[in-house]
Amino acid sequence: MKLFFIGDSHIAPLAKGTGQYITDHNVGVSISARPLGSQRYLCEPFFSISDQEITFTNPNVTKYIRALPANDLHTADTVYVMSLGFHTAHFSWISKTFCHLLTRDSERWALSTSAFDAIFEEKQKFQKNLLRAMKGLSLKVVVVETPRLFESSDYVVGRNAATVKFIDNRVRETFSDFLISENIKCVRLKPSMIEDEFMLPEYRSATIGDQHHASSRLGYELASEILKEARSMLA
Amino acid sequence: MHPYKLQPSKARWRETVSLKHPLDIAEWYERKFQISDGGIAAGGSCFAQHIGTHLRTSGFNFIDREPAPPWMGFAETQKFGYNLYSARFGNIYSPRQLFQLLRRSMGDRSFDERPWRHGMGFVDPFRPTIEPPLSTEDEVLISRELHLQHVAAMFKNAKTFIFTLGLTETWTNRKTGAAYPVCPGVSGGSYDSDIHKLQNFDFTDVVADLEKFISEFKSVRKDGQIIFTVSPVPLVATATQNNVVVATTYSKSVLRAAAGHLAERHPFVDYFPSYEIISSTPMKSMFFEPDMRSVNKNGVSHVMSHFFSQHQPTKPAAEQKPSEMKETVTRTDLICDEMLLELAENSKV
Repeated sequence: MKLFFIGDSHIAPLAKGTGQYITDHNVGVSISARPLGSQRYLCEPFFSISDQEITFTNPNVTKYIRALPANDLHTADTVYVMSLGFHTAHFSWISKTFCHLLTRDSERWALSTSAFDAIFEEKQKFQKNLLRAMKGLSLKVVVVETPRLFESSDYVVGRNAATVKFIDNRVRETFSDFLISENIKCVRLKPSMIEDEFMLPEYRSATIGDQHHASSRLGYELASEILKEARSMLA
Repeated sequence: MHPYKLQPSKARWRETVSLKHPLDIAEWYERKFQISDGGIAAGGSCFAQHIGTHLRTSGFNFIDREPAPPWMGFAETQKFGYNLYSARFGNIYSPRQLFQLLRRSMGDRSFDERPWRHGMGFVDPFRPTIEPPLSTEDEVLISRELHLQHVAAMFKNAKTFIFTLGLTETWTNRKTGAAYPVCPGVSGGSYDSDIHKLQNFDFTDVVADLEKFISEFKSVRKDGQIIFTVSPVPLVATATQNNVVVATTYSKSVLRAAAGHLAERHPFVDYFPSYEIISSTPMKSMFFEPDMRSVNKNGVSHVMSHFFSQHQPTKPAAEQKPSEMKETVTRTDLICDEMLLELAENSKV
């Protein structure tokens, strides 16, 4: 079996951690990884579809990967481990100027749940379409949930925290619903990684200035679930 | 010698219409006052959306108290009542609805009523189509309260208010007198003939409601000025026993007469002839879509060109956007890119 990690910037710690787990546990699985690009490039059209291939069109993506299946990396037993669609940090910027109706404050305009959903859909539809296209090409896909926000990060401090939490929860649940409806496998975060709806600080990347990525510990601790789901697709 | 001899050529049909192509008919409108030296707000029936859209993008100081979230697609924003008017009140069809909106924004809640159930959710009876139904009544009430605060601010900040008159047929509440934008039961709630009734306002009613609005608006904004126009869009349906064309003619005639009457009466009230520029016989219905109801893009542009020939902005056109929401490359984005590059360089992990 071959795990091919692909997706937004959160795949880096995910792939590293999973790789470490495989080494430590001497698991007979090979790993490759390619980024698709920063989240912001995945919120606009970035690929086209033909009968046999997904061709990436945004130069910010093609500098990493040109097409799926990736000719040089794809084999019959490849499972694509994706970080896609759960990127809530991107959406949390909305909370700078907008809040939810039920968590309103005097500084911001208030939005309904439907309005938030419309924003999420506008930004996520391309990622959803990519997953649908991969399914259409019979590629085996497992999506891994990205880390929740860190309470002490710039995404939370000074914002309407209740709205930030609403966004973090809503994006995850709507995207999870989408994956279920499409019958796409998903590995969710473990409850032990979360406290008060925020990611525990011990999972935070040690990179100075990094506000929302996890360390490779996340990938390490999710590795067994990822392997389990991947194996089930090849069984 | 008689008075007609002294009239300008625009006063004579032959010179103005018969000898000209419809698009060459000029001098439809001569402004009564400048609008470029203060905030401008707009509202009204659906044709008013075109006026709002053009003013918003033409460099005027157009007030938008409830701006759209920048990350929502433009088409989607209008489904949520954004980018249409100066606040998210949706279409205001009747003068009574307009007056009541102003009163409600100033704190008079005697017209208010509980949210209506619509499907699995709830809507505000006074703007039931502003967005998909909300989950709870509380959300509707909170949304209404915040909205009315923005409406109040809109009226206070608007030196000029441009209102497009649309309908005389209005559904009202027998007890409170509240005027609804749509018939109860159509987009939420349920119709009850003991509670709701149709009123087809006549000239006297319309003038009275608009006079009340003018008086209230002037008390909020002493230097306020108003431009009325009449929507050329016919009724989609009438609730009277009349043929819809006959009902449309009645409705538009009353509104047009009332607007003209008020513009004659008040120096700070002007009338802009959208209705005539689109619907009058010289225009040969060229600005209507095949359904003979929807106004095509050429018609909207033609109307606005006559408006802008008399009203020019003082500053160049610029898109208004909540400044903090501009998407820029942040430190976080850079870190994302750094991680991706690192991963790409070590693609065999």
